Amino acid sequence: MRGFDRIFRRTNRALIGGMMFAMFVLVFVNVVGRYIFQVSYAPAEEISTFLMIWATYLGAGLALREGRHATIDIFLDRLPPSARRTLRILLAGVMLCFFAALCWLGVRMSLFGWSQETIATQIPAGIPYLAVPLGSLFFCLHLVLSFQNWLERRWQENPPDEPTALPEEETP
Amino acid sequence: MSLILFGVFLASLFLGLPVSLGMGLSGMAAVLLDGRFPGMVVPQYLFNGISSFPLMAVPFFVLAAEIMTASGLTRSLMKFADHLVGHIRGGLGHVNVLISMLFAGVSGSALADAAGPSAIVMNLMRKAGYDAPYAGALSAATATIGPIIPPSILMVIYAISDNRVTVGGLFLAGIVPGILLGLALAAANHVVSLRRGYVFRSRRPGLRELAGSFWEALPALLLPFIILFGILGGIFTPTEAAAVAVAYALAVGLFITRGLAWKDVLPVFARAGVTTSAVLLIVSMASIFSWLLTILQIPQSLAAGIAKLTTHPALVLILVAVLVFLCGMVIDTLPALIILVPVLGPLVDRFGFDPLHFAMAVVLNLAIGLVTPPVGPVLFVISTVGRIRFEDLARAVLPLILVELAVLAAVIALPPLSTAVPRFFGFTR
Repeated sequence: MRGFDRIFRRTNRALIGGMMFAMFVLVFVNVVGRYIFQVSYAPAEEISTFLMIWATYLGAGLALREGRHATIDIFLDRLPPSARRTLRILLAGVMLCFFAALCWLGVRMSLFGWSQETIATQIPAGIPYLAVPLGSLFFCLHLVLSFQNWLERRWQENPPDEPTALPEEETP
Repeated sequence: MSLILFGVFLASLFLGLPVSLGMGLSGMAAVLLDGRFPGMVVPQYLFNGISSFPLMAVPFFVLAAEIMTASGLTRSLMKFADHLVGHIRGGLGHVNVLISMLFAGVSGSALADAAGPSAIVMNLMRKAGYDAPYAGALSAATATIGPIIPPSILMVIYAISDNRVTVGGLFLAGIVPGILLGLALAAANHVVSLRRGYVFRSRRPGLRELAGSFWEALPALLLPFIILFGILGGIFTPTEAAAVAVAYALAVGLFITRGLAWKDVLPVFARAGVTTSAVLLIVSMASIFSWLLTILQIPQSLAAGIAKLTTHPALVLILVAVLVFLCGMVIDTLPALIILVPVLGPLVDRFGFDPLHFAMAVVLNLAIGLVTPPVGPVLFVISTVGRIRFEDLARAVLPLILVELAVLAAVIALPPLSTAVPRFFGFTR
């Protein structure tokens, strides 16, 4: 289980990084192409937009693990530990139900969109739509895999790469 | 239907569900229980809410700031700020203000500033002997400059939600209020330092040393100008300008400062991707929520309600400011923006306000909302990072909020503060 968790997390991160990178390259190359060589690749805008939506939904589960989803904890913090635990189990249940429903509705939307074509790339619209159900599925998986962390609000931080002090002698 | 929408939203918010999911959940519940619309409209609105090329400026600005920080440029900026103002009375406090202004030109978000440079200066201030709550409060307050000085994620999303203004126009409108905010906070820091006897100067650097740190910080200092000139010259759209900023940051990090290794590139993109996800999920989920608000005709009835109270434009502006401030106190900034903009938009037409002036007043107001208790995201970050009790921090930040409100009052009372610069460059919206 732990092995699967690690591979899943890594794959997910790599996917997000790759999508962001592809999105950047598409837009940047298109800008350079247009202003320097007067050529542009018309579908670039559409594809990069789809990539952004995919990255958003596939990244939501990772953001949950890192505690990045803005939350108001004031009430939660004032509860005794046992009640807090119960409430967090309840909240996890609500999130699972929400994303399960969203996944189901998203699958229906994708099936519905399979017969339509997107404007610029002319692929079935169902393909980009899949971001929503697939992202929902990822979110649920992340929540289940890191359930203990969610209960205790132990967030997985990226190692910070920011300097922790002013360099050299400036520190008074 | 409105009962379900607001009931579920407020309850889930209060109990501690992430804000984005609270909006999505209440929207979904309202649609499914109401039954007028097929359930499929929920994922459709979520998808279409972020299916926007202009919105892509947001991930690119996040990326540019991440790359700049990973390349060590944030550090150079800080050294430069310290050399410039560190030797004045209350020096590190002024460094705190200045670094926020400089970093605002690299990043578009207050949270990035609060978690990055502001938190670092806060720790230095505490080591030097400033009270922890004051150091934290000043770091939080200065972080609000981030979304006011361009580039700004808040402004990009504002301009997407309201076609009365453009991203370029709003960016320019933010310059003077952003500088005013910085000056006002520096003045406040001066007064506090006098009163509490904070001296703590650092050594005054020689001209040569100052020139050296300026040269090191120059690549980061240039970034906002590249973005602004690109947009103003009509060369790039804001999204393209943001992509160019990313390319510039990559080039600087990989080849000039060499603080960024090739193997770090993909992890930096992944990290920016996760941040982007959290931000855009709010935008996505808020779109179903604000669609339902329009279905329920909330914006119209609110505009009519305000019009019934008063028809004097100045009073309307004050009423709006109070309303926005109250919303900013209890809702997170970004959701508040997305919910409020369609609600307030009709007032601009009805009372003939300058759209840029109006937008600037709302954005500044919401930025101040980032540090107003009980719900101030920047306060949360600072209290977590600095391990300062939330209550102490909230008390220490109150006088600084008053200072920021004075700037807001000036921006509301004097439209040219926000409209003069964009006018000069030919932006009327």
